[in-house]
Amino acid sequence: MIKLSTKQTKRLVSIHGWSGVFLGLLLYVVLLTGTLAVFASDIGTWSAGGMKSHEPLRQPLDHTIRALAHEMPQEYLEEITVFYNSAGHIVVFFHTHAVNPEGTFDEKGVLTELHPESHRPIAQREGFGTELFGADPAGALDEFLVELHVNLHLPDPWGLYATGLLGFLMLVSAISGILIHRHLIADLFVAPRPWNRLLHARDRHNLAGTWTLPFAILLAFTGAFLSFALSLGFPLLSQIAFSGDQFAMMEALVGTGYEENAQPAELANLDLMLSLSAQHAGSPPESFVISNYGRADTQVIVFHPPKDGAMVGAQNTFDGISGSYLGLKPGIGTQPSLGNWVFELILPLHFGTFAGLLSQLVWFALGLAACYVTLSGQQLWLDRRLDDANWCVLRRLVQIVGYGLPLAILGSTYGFFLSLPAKQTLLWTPLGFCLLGLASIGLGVLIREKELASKAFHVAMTVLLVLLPMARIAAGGPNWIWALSSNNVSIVLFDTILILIGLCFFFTISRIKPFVLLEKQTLEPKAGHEQ
Amino acid sequence: MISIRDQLKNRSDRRFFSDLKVRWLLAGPGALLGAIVVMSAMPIWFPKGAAEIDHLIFPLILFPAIWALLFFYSCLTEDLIRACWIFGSLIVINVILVLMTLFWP
Repeated sequence: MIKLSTKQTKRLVSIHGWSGVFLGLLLYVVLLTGTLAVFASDIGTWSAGGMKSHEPLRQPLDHTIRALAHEMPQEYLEEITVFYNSAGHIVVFFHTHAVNPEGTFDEKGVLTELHPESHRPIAQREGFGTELFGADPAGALDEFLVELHVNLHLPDPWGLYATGLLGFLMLVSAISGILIHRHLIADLFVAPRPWNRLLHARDRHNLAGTWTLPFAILLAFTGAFLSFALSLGFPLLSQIAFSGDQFAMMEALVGTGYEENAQPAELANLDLMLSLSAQHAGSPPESFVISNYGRADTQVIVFHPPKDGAMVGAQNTFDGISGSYLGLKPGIGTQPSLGNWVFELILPLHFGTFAGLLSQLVWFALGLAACYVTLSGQQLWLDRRLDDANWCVLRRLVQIVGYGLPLAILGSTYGFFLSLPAKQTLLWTPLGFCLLGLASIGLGVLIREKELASKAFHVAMTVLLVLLPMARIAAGGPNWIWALSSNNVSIVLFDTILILIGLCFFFTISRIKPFVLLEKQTLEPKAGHEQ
Repeated sequence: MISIRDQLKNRSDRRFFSDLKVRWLLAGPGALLGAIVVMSAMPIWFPKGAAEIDHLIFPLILFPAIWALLFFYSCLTEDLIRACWIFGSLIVINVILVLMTLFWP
């Protein structure tokens, strides 16, 4: 352990405490939504009513893409991106690259949504990528949660700056936590002392904090990188290395790897390329991109999720005219490099996808523990200042945000399901969040007694969680029999988990008791063991 | 009897730029500015690597680490004058590098 002087330790304890007190609640918002975002695609599938087809890009697509390309303006044939959304519908985006009205680098084109089996068009929209990708009513819920995690729904680039700074705050809390810990290893196995409520609470905070320390540092580091890389680093570096040309920097990073040739030429059989790519990657295609459609320099890149036992997915490149396999393309650049290796490592580590479902579950559990550490740290700070009236507002705020955020998320879920039949989810998902958020603030303000307010929040959580699966089915969502017969087990699993969490809240209502400072202090045997 | 050390400390607290204020300036705007200028200048001297992208990727990846290093150094150091010199030199050298690249490529 690093030896610090008393002054240095005091300074770090101050930083650890004050940073958590001032920005801990915002950090809690990012942490909780990030924890849910670990299962964002599963939440998307659950909310969209299950996947209509489990491997939509395995089916013949060659004829459909050609027919669609025939109708498109020439400029949108520069790049065609094909993927599938939460409901399993195929999305084809014909586009070019342009600067949007906000002055940022963007994609501009026509987005068509197709039924996964009949390939019948369901919806078609034209515009910039930033507008089109957030406009799918079926994906409104997971999109809303991810956006809340990524930029707190603040305008760009301020939202990314805010979450980047919160990443720094988490880094500060975690590293200062390590430095001020005197018994880091011992605290991994500490049993919370039951004879004193304050020490008991601090032991539990230390226990959860110690177990989440490596996770917190990893997430804070990767999260701050993702936020600042897009909002600050990319524009700055393009200014210095490419004289402000963001297109040139993007090209250098993505890497075209082909010689320009604008002569007209016919695309090779797409279905054969997709099938060959799946054989090479060992997993079905997740999406693919056709560059320069109809030209002699057409290139097809097929993206695959990680195969069993692999940490990262694969990107296979094909010559679009001959259909020949050109090899595996790195995520960044045109050939393997250290930069690409580190970059490809960061994404699965942040999203928790490096070992499939198991790592996602571990990341989810550690995310919840980190939320607990954030709130319990603030609670500890406030419990030591019970007699100080200046901290009364923050005490109330911690309770309101602590319970209010999950309630508001449930509000957005209800808003989504109740407006899904009318396809008004883009409006009602954020509105549901705001309504339940306001209701939580009202509940916290009106009920002055803290324990009574906690009980009211638990009752609200129980009712909303238990009734949610019923609301989903009542709003036209699939029932359990359809879900099980169509291999959409995640719907049944999610519903069950929601009901179980609701019941947990119900059974803990009676355990909420008033906090008494230093109760039975005299029974404490070893006061000297404190930090 | 007040010791010399305490007398010096009292004198430091009465100054406009007290130790606390200097530490705040170094750990707050200083660390952020330092990390931004180091990141900005890194593409100039960092090796490009096999795919010629390392000099673009590593500044982005290392930005949080550079900030954390500067932040904790300014929080833990007892020698604030030396810290000011280090921060100042770091910022000036990297700003000169960036300006030279922008205006005299």
